[in-house]
Amino acid sequence: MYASAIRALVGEIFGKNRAAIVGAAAVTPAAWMIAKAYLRHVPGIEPNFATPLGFLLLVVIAMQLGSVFAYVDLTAGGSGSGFPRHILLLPAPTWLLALVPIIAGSLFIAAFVLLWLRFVSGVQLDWTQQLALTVAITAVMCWIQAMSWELLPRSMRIVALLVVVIATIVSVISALANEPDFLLGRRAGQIGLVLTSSGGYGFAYLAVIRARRSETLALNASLKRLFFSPGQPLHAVPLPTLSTAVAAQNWFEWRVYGRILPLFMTIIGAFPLASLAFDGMRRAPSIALSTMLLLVFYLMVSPMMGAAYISKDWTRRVQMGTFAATRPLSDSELAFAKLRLAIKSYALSLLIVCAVIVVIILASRNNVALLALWSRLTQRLGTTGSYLSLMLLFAAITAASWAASALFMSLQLFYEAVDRKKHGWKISLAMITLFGLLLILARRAYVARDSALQWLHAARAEVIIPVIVLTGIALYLLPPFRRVAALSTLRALAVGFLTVTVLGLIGLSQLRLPFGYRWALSSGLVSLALVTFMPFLLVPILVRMSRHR
Amino acid sequence: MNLHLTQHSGVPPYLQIISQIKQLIASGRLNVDQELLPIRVLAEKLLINPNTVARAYRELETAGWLYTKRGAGTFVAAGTTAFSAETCRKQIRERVCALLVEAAHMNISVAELIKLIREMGNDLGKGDKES
Amino acid sequence: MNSTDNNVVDIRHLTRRFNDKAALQDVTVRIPRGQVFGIVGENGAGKTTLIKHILGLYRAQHGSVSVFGMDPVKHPKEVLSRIGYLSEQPDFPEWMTIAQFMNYMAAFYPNWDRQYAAQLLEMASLDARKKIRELSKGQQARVGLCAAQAHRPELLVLDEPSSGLDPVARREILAAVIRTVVHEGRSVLLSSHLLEEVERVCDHLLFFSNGEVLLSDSMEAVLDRHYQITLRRPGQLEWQALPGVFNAVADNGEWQLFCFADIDQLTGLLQLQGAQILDTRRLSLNEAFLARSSQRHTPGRIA
Repeated sequence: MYASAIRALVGEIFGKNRAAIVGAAAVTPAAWMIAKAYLRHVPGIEPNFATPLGFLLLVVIAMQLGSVFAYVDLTAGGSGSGFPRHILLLPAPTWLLALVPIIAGSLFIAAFVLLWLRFVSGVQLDWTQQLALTVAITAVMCWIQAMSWELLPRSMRIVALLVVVIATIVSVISALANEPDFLLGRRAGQIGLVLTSSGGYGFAYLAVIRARRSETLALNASLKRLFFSPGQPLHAVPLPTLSTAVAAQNWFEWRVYGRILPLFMTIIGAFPLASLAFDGMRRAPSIALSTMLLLVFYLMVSPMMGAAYISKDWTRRVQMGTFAATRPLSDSELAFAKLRLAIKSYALSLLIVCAVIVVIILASRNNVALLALWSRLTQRLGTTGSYLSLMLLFAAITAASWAASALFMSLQLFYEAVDRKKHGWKISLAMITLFGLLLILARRAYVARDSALQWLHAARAEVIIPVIVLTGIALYLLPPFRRVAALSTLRALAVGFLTVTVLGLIGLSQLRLPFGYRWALSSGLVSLALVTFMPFLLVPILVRMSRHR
Repeated sequence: MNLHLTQHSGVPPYLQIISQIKQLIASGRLNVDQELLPIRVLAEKLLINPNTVARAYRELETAGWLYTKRGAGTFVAAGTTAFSAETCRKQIRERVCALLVEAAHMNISVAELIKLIREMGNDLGKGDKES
Repeated sequence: MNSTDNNVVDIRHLTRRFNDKAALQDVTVRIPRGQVFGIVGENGAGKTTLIKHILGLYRAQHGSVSVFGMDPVKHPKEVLSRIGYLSEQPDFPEWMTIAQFMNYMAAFYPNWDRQYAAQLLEMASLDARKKIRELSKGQQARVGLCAAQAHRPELLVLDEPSSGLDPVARREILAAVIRTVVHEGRSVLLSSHLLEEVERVCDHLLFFSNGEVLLSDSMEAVLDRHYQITLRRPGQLEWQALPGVFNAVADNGEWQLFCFADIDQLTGLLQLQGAQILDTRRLSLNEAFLARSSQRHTPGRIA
């Protein structure tokens, strides 16, 4: 009796999303051709889809296909390719409504992925591995389905999905790896896969029940509170003493946006910490990998965070709200409250990241790979030099992350300040050009990777040009900044930056490095300082622009 | 001093205030030399612009219904406890006109109407004496 | 300098365009101190755009805006700290409790009176421990109203505050307006669709249509000089040439004229032209608004 309902559902899914499915499938040859064209000038590499980049593309396409089979698509804002909602009115049991798109989707995607792996990447998998991969895809499908309703705010859904995807990937790698104790170990990986998929199906089922009744999940409120509204119990909340308007605004910014990044980094950091529980993990070289992943994540989320700090409530990308704009604060006070928040949030996140890394290193005291790395470093630079360079590295990562965040904050502000109808295409064009330039730069860097040391040693113009350009931009920004006032704050900041830069330069000079490296690294340090300083000039100007249109 | 402003009547608020205060005085619910509510208080009570209240008081004062004592307030003036003969006539004329049109519409003759008025007038007279 | 002293808001020849569509067209507005200034107009007539200029959220493209004698774009802090503002859809930080919200707001305004704020909250019977998110729309408006009054602003700006509210909340908004002007002689700018309310509380009326000021006059004049005249006259009536007549409808040989004029003069003029006046009737603000709104759609005007 279920046969007809299943047929109707499957027909509906494939019929409605034919274009999306065909499009996703067509991405493969297109990507192949583009990669071929892009890599034409790189000697020695052919487009190889067995690389991480190739796998990334595969994951993106699979995600796209996944959203086709979800009841609501995950691409924020769009509502076009969503699952036909009228299906909810079909006289079929709820478990079937939840299950059919999941099974249809995971079978289809699994077939796609396996075919891709077999014929595009040339990866051979045995049947247990194929099964594990299919289960993993099913797990992700379940979670997409579970996330598709108002379980979480729209953009938070993607983050949550990311977390689940990471958990699944870790499980899948552990389950598929050739060494039985890689990452979590094969057994734990298999258990993890079963847990994520069954948990996901449970949530998906609940979600369909709610959707049929057109209710939102009760979980919504509590999860939302966890991430967004720093909830406190009603009773006996001591009100903060906010003596000045600036203090009030700082409090406000922190309460709204402050805890997103630290919370996110805690969640990400919890994964390697949790994996410490497994014996295999502590000894495996993957410990270094997960530490690196943490840092990479810290760098990667920063642009997202920058954009998020500007949005009114992060779930909606809107112009600066009237409420925020009508605070009796000067433009620079508003801007600096924002910047201060970002700095505080970043500092806290960095502390969390450092703590996680320290715990991992301590827990894996006898990790051969780490010890070997460290001894190589001390041999080259001496003990003091090693500690110093590590500190410099961390400082550089933090600075780069903060700069990326603040510059994206500026970009978002700029995007809001300008008339999108009028200038939108110009912005898109500029972004595409920038992206293309970055790609070309990446290619050049890749080509020069073996000669990087000589390149640094020679201290070519490429290193000094950014310093000159950035100094020029900073000087150019100064006059409009002056109109925003708060010059005294800027002066104090400039002095601070100068001090840190000089200290960094002194530190660099203490390293036992050949002159050329020292010169190049110093230029790099100066440009990093300038990049991190730029937001303090840019953001107030842009706040002014978006506040008074 | 109980005033009620009605919306949707098409009569501007200050005219409503004027006519209602006149009614209160004419019907004896406001006595001579009695103090009226201060402008601000009345404005807050009626949720109406104080200038509107001020205008009503001003017009009543120029018409001789009220007088103001500097620094003390606004009071009901003596001697004008009734409408002026002309206004009375005008007001009554309007109402009689409406009454006649209505009566004609309902096929009630003028003689019948006069009879009715006389009867009701007698009743009203009795009521006045009793109270 | 004298004019800035007496005028809380002084807008001259303000023009604003969005993508070549004029939202404000050469608008000149002065709001004297101590007045309740009403703005009415259809949706999209430019009321909110004008208010956003006063708050400094829009930069004047042409013309000038001055609030308390200052440019609100150049001095947002100084101007905004003297204004209380409530809009139709306030985007308050919903995660705050009322107590947190008031505490937060208090820090911005040097004149914030905590006692007065508490008194206002009590009058609105609001529980300060509740979160703004948990409140109804009417309660949220009341919180906004308390926050907009507690620093006794020199200018209270209400942008369609009553839309979609229950009668009790609407009444409180009117009370806030009256309270503001009655005691300290502060000023109010009220934009509203509810003409009865505007009629009740405003001193001055600004009638907007398509970004242009159709009428700006004292409420007294607006109420006293809007009339509907019914007349009978053979032949065509050149009503456009009549002083103060802004709309006319021919109906079975009778004409309905809508005018904003000295009624005695106008009827005298009409009688001289041989018209027989059948009736003159004062228009309520609502009727005047409707008559003026339809004037642009009347084919008679184009002919």
